[in-house]
Amino acid sequence: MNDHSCCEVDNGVHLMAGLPPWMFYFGVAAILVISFAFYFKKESDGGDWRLDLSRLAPVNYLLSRRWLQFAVQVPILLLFLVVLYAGFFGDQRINIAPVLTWTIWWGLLVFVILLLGKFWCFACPWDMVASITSRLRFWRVNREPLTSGLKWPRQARNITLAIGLFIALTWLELGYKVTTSPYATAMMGLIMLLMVVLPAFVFEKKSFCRYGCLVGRISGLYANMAPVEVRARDRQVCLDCKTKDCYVGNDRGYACPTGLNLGTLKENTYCTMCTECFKSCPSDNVALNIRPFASDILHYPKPRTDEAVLAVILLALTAFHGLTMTPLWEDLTGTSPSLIAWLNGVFGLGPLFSFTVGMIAILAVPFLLYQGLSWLSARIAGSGISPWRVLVAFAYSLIPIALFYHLAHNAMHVAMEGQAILPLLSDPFGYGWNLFGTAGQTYAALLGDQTVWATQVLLVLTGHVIGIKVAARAGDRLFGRGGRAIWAQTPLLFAMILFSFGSLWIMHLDMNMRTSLM
Amino acid sequence: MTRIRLLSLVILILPGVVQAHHIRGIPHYSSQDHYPETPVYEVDQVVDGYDVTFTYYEIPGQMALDLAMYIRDTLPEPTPYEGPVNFLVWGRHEDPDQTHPFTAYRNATNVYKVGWVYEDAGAYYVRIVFSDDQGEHRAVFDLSVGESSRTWTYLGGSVALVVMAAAATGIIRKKRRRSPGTSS
Ligand code: SF4
Ligand code: SF4
Repeated sequence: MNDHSCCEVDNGVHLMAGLPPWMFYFGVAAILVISFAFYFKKESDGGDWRLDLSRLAPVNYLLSRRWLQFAVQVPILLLFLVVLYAGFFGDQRINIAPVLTWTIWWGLLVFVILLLGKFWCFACPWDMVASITSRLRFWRVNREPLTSGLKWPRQARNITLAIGLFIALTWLELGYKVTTSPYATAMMGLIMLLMVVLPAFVFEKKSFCRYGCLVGRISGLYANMAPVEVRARDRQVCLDCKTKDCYVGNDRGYACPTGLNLGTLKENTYCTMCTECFKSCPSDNVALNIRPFASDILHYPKPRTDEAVLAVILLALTAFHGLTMTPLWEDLTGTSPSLIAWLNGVFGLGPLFSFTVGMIAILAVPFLLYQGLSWLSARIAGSGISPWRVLVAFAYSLIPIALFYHLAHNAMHVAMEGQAILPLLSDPFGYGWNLFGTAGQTYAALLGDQTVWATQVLLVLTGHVIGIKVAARAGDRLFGRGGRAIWAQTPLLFAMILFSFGSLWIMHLDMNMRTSLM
Repeated sequence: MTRIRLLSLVILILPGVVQAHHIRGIPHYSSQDHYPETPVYEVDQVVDGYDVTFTYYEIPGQMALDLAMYIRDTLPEPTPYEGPVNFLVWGRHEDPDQTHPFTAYRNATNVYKVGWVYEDAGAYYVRIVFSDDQGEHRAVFDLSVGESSRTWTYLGGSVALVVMAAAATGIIRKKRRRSPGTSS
C-alpha cells in the first residue's frame, strides 16, 4: 500500500497513487457481499424492452443515406492521418500521436463501446480506406468491386487470428513501449491499416472485420453489453424473405460485410453497425434499437469456444496491461525491486525476454486457473458435462469483469492524463507552434483523485454484479437449479470473486503515468 | 547488445566528446545560455527540493547529443548543486541495468554535461542520480535521437503493396471474366 498523494513526482517519474486502503478493503467486502446476494437470487426475466430509434423520421432519413458513414468516417480518418504524420515526421520527444492514440482514442473507445456498441466500426478509418480502395466509390454502391471475392479459409473461420493479433500487438505495445513513442504508434497505425486494406482485395465482403480484426472482435464481445443494437423489426419477415437482400446486397446497399442473417441475429458480436441493411432491406424491416444494458450477454444465444477463449484472454491481458504500468512491474527510477528486474536477474537475457516470459506467465495463470476450476465444477456436477463445455459457458461471465476493469483503468488515464491533449492541439507535431495559445501550458487533471478512485471501485463492482448475473444464468442453463447444481457452480463463482479482487488489487498499486514518459 | 557495447565505448571516450565542444567552436553555455545554439529541448523538474533543468543539443551530422543538466535548490536565492552526478542513458526497450553509467562533474557554469553517441534513432531515457546528506535523488527525463531514415521506405512500401494488390486483383478479375465457368 502507498502513501503518495495523487500524481506525485517520485524521483522524476509521475506516479498516480493507487486506491487508498479503505477503498480497497471496502471494494473487497462489497465484492463478497454482492457475489452471494446476486448469485443465489432468483432472476426475473423482465425488463427486456426495445425502443426503435429508426422509427423517428430524422434518424430514418440519416440511416437510409449512403453518404452517412462516409461523413462520419472523414473526420476520424483526418485524425488518423494526423497521428501518422506526427508519428513519422513530428518531433519524436513529444507530439500528439501517442496521447491522441493511447490516452484519448484507446482510453475512450471502451466507453464508446459501452454506450454506443460497435459505433467505432461504423466510424473506422481503416475500413474507410479499405472500402474506397476496393469498391472504387466514396459511398455509392459498386456491384463489381475490385476484389477477388475469395471465401475466408474454412479452417480459419473463427476468431483465432484476432486473438493472436491481440496478443502480438499487446506484446509489441507493452514490450516495446509503443504507447510512449510517436514513431512506433504511427507504425502500429500503418500496420493496422494494411491489415484491413489488403484482405479487402482478396476476400469477399469484409472478412477481415469478421475474423481477423482485433479491435472489431474485442469491441464485438464488449458490445454485447451496450444498450444499442441493429436487429430485424420482425424476425418472421426476414425468415420468410426470399431475396435476402441484406445478405447478398442490391443496388441500394452492400451485402452485410460480416455475413449476418438478420432473421437469426441475436447478438452484437459481429455486427459492425455499418447500416448497409437499412439501405438494402426492401421491406424496411431493420431497426436501430435502444435496449437495456447487457441484454445480449445475459441471454447469449450460442456460446462459442473461440469467443470464450478470447473472453478469458481479454481478462488476463487487460489485467496484465494494468500491471505493466505499475512500478511493481518496472521501476524506471531503479530504486525498488520490480518483476522485470527480478526476471532479468533470473534469466539474464535482457528486458524483452523477461517481458515476454512475464507476459506468458500472467496470461497462463488465469487461463489455467479457470480451466482447473471448470474441471472441478464439472466433477461436482457429475452429469457427463465436459470441463471444456463448462469453461465455454461460463467464460462469458468474465466479459463484464474485463470490460468494467478496462473502463476503470481507462477512466484513470482519461481523467488524469486526458488534459495532456490541450497543449498538443496547439503544437501537434512538436514543431514549436502555438496555434491556440495552449502550447507549453500545463492543465490540471480533469477529475480529482478521490473521484477517480470512487469511480474505479464503482465500475469494478458494476462489472462484478453483471458478471455474477451472467454466471448465474449460465449455471442455470448448464446445471439447473438447487442442490448439487449450486455446489457445481461454486468454483466458478470463486474464480469471479478472485478476478474482481485482482482488478482492485492492481488498482491499489501506484501507476506510472504514461504522459510522464512522453 | 551491439548498441550497449557501442555505448560503453562512447563512455570511455566521453572526455574527448565533451572537449569537442571547443573544437566545434561552440563556446561554453549554461542551460539558460543558448548562444549560438538552441537546445532541442529544455524541461524543468523539481525533485526532492532540487530544481533540475535538462536540455540537450544535437551534434550536427552525428547520431550524438550533448546532454546538459543544471541543478540548484528551490530556495528563493538558489544555490547550484556541486557534487558529482551519475548519468544513465537507455533506449525505450533496453534494460537500464545493462547500460553503463557515467559520472559527470560540474563545469565552470555550474552545468553537468555529457556527450552521448547513439547507434539507433529513437526514443531514450536519461536518469540522473545525485546525492547530498539527505540521501540519493533521482530524476528521469526522455529524449530522442535522429529521425528514422526508414520512414519513406515504410510509407512507399505500403503504398506499393496496396497498388500491387489492387493491380493483381484487377488482372485476376479480368481473367476470370474471360474464362467463365471458373468460380471463386
Ligand atoms: S472490424 Fe476492425 S477494421 Fe473492421 S470496421 Fe471494425 S475496427 Fe474497423
Ligand atoms: S449489414 Fe446490418 S447486420 Fe450486417 S453488419 Fe451492417 S448493420 Fe450489422
